[in-house]
Amino acid sequence: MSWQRVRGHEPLVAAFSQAERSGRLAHAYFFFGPRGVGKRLFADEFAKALLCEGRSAERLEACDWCAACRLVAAGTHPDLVAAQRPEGSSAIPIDVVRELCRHLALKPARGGRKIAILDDADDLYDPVTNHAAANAFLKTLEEPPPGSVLVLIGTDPEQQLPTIISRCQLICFRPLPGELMTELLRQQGITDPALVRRLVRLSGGSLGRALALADPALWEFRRTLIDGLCRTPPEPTGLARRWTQFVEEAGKDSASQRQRASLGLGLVIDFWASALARSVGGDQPPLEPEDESRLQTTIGRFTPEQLLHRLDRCLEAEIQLERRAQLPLVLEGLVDALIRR
Amino acid sequence: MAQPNRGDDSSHYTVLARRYRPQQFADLVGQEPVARALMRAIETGRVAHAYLFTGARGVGKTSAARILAKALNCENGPTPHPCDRCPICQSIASGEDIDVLEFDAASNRGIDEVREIRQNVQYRPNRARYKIYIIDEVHMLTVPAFNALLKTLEEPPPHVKFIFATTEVQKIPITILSRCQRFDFAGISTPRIVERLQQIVSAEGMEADPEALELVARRAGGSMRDAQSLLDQLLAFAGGRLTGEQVHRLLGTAHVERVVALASAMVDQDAKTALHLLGQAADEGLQLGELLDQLIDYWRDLMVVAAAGDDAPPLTCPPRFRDTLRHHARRLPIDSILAGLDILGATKARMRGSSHGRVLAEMAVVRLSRLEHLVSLAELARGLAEGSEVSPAPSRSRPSAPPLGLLAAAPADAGASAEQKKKPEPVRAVPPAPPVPLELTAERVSQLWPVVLDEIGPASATDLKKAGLPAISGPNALVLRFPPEYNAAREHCQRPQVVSRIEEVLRKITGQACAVRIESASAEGPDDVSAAPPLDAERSQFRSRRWRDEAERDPLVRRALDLLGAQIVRVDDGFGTVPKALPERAEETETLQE
Repeated sequence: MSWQRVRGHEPLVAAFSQAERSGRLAHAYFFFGPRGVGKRLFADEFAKALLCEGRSAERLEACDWCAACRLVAAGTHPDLVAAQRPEGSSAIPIDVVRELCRHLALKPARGGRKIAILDDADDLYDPVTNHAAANAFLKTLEEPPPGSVLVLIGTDPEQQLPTIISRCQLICFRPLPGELMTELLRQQGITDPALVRRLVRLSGGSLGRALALADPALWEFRRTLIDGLCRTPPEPTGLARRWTQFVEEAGKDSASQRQRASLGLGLVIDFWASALARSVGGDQPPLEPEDESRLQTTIGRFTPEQLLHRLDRCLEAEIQLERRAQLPLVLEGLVDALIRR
Repeated sequence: MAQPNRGDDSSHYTVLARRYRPQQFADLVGQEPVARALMRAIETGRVAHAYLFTGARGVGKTSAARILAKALNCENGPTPHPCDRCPICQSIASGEDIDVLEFDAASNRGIDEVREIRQNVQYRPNRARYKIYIIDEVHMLTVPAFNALLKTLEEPPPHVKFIFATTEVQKIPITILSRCQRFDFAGISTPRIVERLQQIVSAEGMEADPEALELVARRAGGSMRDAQSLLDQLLAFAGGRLTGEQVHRLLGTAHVERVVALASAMVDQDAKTALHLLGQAADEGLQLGELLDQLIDYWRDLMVVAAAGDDAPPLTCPPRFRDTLRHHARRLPIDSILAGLDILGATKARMRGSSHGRVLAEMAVVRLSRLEHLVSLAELARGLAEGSEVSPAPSRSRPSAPPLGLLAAAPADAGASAEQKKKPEPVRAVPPAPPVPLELTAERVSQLWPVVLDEIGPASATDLKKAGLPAISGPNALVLRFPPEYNAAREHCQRPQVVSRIEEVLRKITGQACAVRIESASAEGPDDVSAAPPLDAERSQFRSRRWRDEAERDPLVRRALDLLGAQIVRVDDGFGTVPKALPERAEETETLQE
């Protein structure tokens, strides 16, 4: 198995193997890229390969049968420590980082290496505590004990303190290509070609996002949503109510409600962005064949400036969702701004 | 290829940034003023007991602190040139010396840790001259911890030295600042970084293209450690000689060709091609944030060339694209370039943390492509006075053109490509007005009014519809008469903000100021709320005729007519009655036509 289960990042596998061969493996890496493209999987496999006791010195590839590999697979290897943001907190607490550093300071129990993986590294950024966790990491990140390898996983280096980034080698994970997404979706049991096409286009190369989008109710709702945006005379209250209703069907849990709202928002943004591209002469095919006429109506109704303005408003709503503003208020405000002139 | 030196531990690689840490004051690249001052202090025996080193990440603060510690404690010292051979120097360099205590204030930031320091300062150093406390990331100490340090910091025993290092000096309490000698470490210039990288590459027994190192150095933004981390990664991931291509691949950045092509499309106001290029780049997995940075660099170069000529400050654009750059800079007025930079900068900021980066980038591209060519009034006036052509930037009317292409009279938006081929249109002043102001005729009003209502929005439009079509009460003056049964609607529409909203929309659509009056249709005469007093149509026509004659006689206007091939379309009321406002007036008067 080994690297075969990491899909779509073959150049990176080759690069790390090359680094290992030339003896230039660094001690701190920052993996970044969209969510749901396989960064964590890659990090786990990388750690396993580094700790593997049965591999040849030439190849950075876990053998998957030695004791170390099994320990890693079982999550009990004493020299591998993984940490992430604890459930329910919005940032990584300083104690998590301290624990990680303390662990690294110990001598390796089995071999010559200690590996630390810090997931959700975006949440090191925390102005409330003066970035305490990130700062507590700096000295270890710069000069860890010999043989240590630290892997931080986040989405965007720009969200980190420059002092963190400056100490790491940045490894960029690209979005998964369309064909691979199609294949992976098929493995997940999604075979309907129309649905796959939509998911590939909207997921931005993230398998995680594609799976979240593969909700039939969402696509049903999309029709209501786009119809509501295009219809004359506009009926903002009705549409906002239906959107809120749709979001609330996701369950009582606020996180899943938010996710649903944001998926819907993504569909709206895609629609307006297509309209914008059309209105300046682009000829990208619409997401759904039936969108054609609606796109035409939209272009007829709004100038590109007005479309840009609406997109701005959508992106503002995205921020509001992230900051956990009241859902019905966000949706009502958004729908009203989109429909009214 | 020589076997890379793996650092002190033979089985594990040590990164370049640690192996090539400066060991002497002379090695501190780009920090000569600081190094000179510290060396001088040691030579003259005027070493303070507390130093604070500040500056961006990776410019040499911690390294300087360690060098200073060595210089003070070296067996052959205190000397500005520590020997690096004695046991003390060596143990300080590896961070193990018992008299040089390096603290990580970010992990040990509480008052207890500081109390421990306070208790220990009284003991003499074990073997060296001084007991030196290097406190890194000192900005993370808590406020009580800082305060607990104050007394010790002010009057430590003679054998104690403090060296603080931080990237965020603004977080240090002022009481601490006033007890330290502060040294600000500057960012390191790109050529200096390139020079140092070149040395490292040679020392590692590798080879690199100057272009590759230049890219790495520029990318590091003044930080030596950033540059070295990146170089390390390149050496690890790419076998053989380092090339620019490899750097681009590693960083997910675009080739300059690509950036220039995208910029060209935007300068040509060809949003379609620009979007296409952007889509291509994104599909190939280029980092859009990086692409945006590159566009910002390009626009910054445009600004520099437009403002100061191309030999002024250093440009980031490679020499082979300078001609294109100059060409673009000539075509865009500087105000457009600045507006473009604003758009790019704002987009970059919004991209941070947004999951819709691609849409944001597309929006920026469309906005830049549709940016009107802005010409400042001053420039226009100067051009007229000098009798030269005013930068004939091909300005295409777009955003402010009337919607729906309804106004056949106006040469609006006649299809992008057709228009592109035409000779450059004359200049339009800021703010861009619709191509030709429209005279209001009964027929046109009936055509326009639905557009106006649409633009105003449903809330007011419902009320306005009650009044039917507006009547024309004079040049650029409309009157809306509400039947008496719609008093409520009339009262709503009479409110000043509604009236001014209508006027604003009218101005946007017709390109000229229109006065709107709301009346009750009953015979009891005008219910005057609005700005313009009712004008007797005939008299006003006569008057505007007079102003027009006056305008035609005006020498400045005549010169403008000759020079720009213009035509007087509209003369504002009161034209020419205030002579000193003439230049500006003249310009308002002209709305130019092909």
